[in-house]
Amino acid sequence: MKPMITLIRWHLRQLAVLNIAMMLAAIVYPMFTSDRLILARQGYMVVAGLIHSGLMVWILGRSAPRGPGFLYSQGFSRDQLWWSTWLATVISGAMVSVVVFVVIISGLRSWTQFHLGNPWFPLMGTVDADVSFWLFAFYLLVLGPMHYFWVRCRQPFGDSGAGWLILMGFVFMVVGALDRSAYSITPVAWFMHGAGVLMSSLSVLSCWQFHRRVEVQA
Amino acid sequence: MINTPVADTSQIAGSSFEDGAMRSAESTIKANGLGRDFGKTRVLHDVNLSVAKGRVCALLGPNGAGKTTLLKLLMGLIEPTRGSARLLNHSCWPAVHAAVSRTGCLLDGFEPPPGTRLHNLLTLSDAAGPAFDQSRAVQLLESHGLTTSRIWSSLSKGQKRWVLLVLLLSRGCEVLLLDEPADGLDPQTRIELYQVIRREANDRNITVLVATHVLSDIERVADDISILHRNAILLQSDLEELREQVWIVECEHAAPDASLPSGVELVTAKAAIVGENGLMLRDHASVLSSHQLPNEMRRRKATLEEFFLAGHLPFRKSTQFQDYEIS
Repeated sequence: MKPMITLIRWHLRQLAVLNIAMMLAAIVYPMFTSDRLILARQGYMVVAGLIHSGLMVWILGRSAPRGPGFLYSQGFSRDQLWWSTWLATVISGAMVSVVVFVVIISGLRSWTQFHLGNPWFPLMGTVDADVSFWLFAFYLLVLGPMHYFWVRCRQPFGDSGAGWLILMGFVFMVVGALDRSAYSITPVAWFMHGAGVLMSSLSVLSCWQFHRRVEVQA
Repeated sequence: MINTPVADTSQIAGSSFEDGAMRSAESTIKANGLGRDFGKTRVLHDVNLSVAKGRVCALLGPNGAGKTTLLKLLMGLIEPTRGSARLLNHSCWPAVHAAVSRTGCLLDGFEPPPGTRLHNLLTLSDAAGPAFDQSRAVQLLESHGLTTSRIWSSLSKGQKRWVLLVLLLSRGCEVLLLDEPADGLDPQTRIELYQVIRREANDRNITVLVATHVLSDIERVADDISILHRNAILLQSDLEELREQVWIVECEHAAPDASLPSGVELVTAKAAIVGENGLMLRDHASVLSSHQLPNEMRRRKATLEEFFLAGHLPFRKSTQFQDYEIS
């Protein structure tokens, strides 16, 4: 357990600036958004989640001098490195989601909107608090394929095109499902959500297996 | 009269490598027919290497010979295209944690992020394995004026190198794979580094494979040498045995020729290595050490640098010494 905790802390330290910026955005955006906070209707939140996920994966996986090569050379196992990297990005997504939740549930959003003259507040109060749960679910969905894409496209055997296709197809599917389920969850949206969850889970497991044979270059 | 044709150092390699192969039963590091291609470029081909437990082996070779690639293959960082390698009795690919966790690896470019403080590095190494000796690490850092609050990016190149070495030396590794460990270190620190490596090998019986170009340093501590040439191991030998066998024989005046007694073979007559009036000879039968040379001739043991150069420079003159007999 000690190696994992230390490694997660190590990764989170590399992500600190990015995560702080995202958490600041997660405070400001709900406070100043007068519309309903439904993830499917908040394109900025979806795009921000995608960018945040992509940058986290890139920062933790990029090559020398900050890359994983140094950690490999220190004697950690490949499993420890993969799962700690995965968990650090999931924790980062969770931190952003929790900040959104706290801003809503604490009444900060309601207070701000009330003082900005929004007639729905404080009546709507904490109604949109569940957006933080959906935001975290969104992170869980996209992080798996993003890690898989990144690990795969860094390999020297030149099939990075497949990684791109997987990632693009996945993102379109998730965003499409969000759009379809904006007001009511249709059967098509159910199917796309289900396929997305399955695909994301498989990509996490595939990436874990794949990571065991990843070539590490300086 | 002399009948020995001009030979390259592959003549040294023959029997010595067999010696190395015989030791392989107890080898900590072992490679069999190991090869690696990058696209169409063949970086390593048919590498056979064996380093026994407790030995310090110098891995020498010109730039591009494949030294770093060999270390990466042994560490399980990259996949071999051909052959296999074993480290601490575990296959190197896919990497086995039981071997990797007991192996310290220093490779160029494998560095922590710039903003990392040294105490975070110590914490990381401490988590990597239970054998990490934090007090020793702090002591070694402080011996070079480094406090644990220092930030990685504020260190000089030599200080960074020293910190990475301290992390490895404090981890209680059983094997060290070092790529140019003295790069950027001042002479005093270089000497200290190799002294520490020698002491670790003597006291804790660790196995060390050092790829380096600074031959004068490694010569003082190495037990074995392996020379990579044209993507394969040209020579692997016990350094002391080689030193006992390989001599430079120089003549005071102009290039005399001499017949070589049985058991003595010509390694090289390259002027850039042995001078205009010299020869590098390999003495299989202790002839040169026990026989009297003519007054005009002097002998001395070859240096590691001369071994190395013998394998990597083009020939510039042919065999001479034909007028003198070594009796």
